[in-house]
Amino acid sequence: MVTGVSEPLLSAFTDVQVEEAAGHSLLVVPGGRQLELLAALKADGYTLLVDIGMIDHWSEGREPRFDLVYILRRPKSGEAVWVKVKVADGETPPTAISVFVGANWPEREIYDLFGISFDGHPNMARILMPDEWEGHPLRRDYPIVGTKPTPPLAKE
Amino acid sequence: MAAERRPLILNMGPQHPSTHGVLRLVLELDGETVRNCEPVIGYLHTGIEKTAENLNYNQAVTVIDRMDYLSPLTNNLAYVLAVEKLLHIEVPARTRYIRVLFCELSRIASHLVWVGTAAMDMGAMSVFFYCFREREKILDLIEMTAGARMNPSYFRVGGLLADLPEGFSEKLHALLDEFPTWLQNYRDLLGANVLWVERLRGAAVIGQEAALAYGLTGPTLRSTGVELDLRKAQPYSGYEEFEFEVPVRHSGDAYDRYELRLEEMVQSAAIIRQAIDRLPDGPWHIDDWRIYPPDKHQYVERDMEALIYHFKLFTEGFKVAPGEAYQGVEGPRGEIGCYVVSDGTARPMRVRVRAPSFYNLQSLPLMVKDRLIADLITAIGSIDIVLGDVDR
Repeated sequence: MVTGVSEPLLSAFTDVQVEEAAGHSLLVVPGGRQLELLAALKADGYTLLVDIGMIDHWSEGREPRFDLVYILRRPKSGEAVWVKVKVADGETPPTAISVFVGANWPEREIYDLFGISFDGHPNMARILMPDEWEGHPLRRDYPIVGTKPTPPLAKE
Repeated sequence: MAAERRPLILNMGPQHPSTHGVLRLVLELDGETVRNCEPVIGYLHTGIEKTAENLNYNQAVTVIDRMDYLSPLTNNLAYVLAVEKLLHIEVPARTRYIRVLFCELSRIASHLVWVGTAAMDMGAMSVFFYCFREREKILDLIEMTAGARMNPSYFRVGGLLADLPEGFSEKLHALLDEFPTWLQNYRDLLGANVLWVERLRGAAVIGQEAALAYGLTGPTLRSTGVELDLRKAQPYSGYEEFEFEVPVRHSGDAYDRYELRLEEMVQSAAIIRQAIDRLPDGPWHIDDWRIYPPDKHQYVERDMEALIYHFKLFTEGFKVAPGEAYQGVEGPRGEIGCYVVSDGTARPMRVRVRAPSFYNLQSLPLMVKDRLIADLITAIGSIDIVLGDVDR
């Protein structure tokens, strides 16, 4: 049982599994249902969007390759909930902007650094790397040395 | 025939002095009114998360330092606590107290930079010099302990780089005794300054609901009436053993954020005083040579076994069992979180950093829409961004 999440909420999501991590548990939701769960959690009081992050399991050869992790908090008690969605390479998970407007930039960052684009995102453009950059640096198979030189800032 | 009224597109930055680093804003202006504002970031992106994946767990501390360069120790704390969670180790009480002490010192140092630079943005130059003079005294303390003014990498997995040096307590007490006069200076220079108050009041307002959905944390969130401080709500590193208050304001404007930061400095000073007065004796690192290196003079130079551990630790590092851990800490700008994932090797598989400035900056367009350019400068100042933290 995940502490802090009300039972009636979870009973509506029978396909959600609980995974244990060091110091917290994650709600693992099947792809496609994360927005429903996020909206339900928001209605349950988890109104603060803490973070949206991605983990690449390429080095372990796992399929689906990516973990998309949402972290929400209750602003009153500070209790957090972790929601994990497994995403395969090339898949386009739906954007969470409709639930948390702050999902805009972190999703752009994930697109920029991992190459996973979000369905329905209004501005799916690079945010940290230069626009002309090729490749997505935080993928585990992206080399740390031997990449192409940085493109010039201005076109000649 | 009347000319069509078209908005003026203006590029502000990336080198504008009031943008606190290399931030670029694309503004859509109607006269002096900002109709739209789009932050363009990434000029300071240095791939710290990628670099950390290619260093061992202790080496990664040194790059995590360099994100939010105004309070590097808070970044360190989030990271080492996450790794310690993965390793299931508890550090001794003295370590916890010293960590808290230095995090609060960094908070004061960081807020001092904020007061100085925000005031300079509004044209109040002199405050800046006072703030930086006083910040230097805090950096002196950090330097005498860790050897570096900025980016000290003082916290290590399982302990600290070194114990507090001789004479530290006296110097710190002298600083704490002087501290109230610093604050009085700022209040005289700024709080009593009509121009400052008028520029800040009612500027850069954000509502509570939007603040939460945008992921704002820290003083920016607490100015909207949300009393969320991780040090109180989800204590870490022994914060529950200290007495302090979490100041909250309700109007969500820049003036509230200014007041909050001054009050937070008072609370931080109170925590520091408790930490140094109640500082427990005893070890300041864990006693496990697999994770924390044995002392060079006491063991490594005399004992073959210790030499082997020392060598292994500095060539390969320690291995961490597969798993993932998240630790969020309350930094000067808000929640700094580290999501560390291990695959069983001596290097982290992923270090995701939840940077408070990144989320705070995202709300800037909302704060300045249909306001004057002058309010935009106030807004940038009031959310206290560090571009190293935004871009990582």
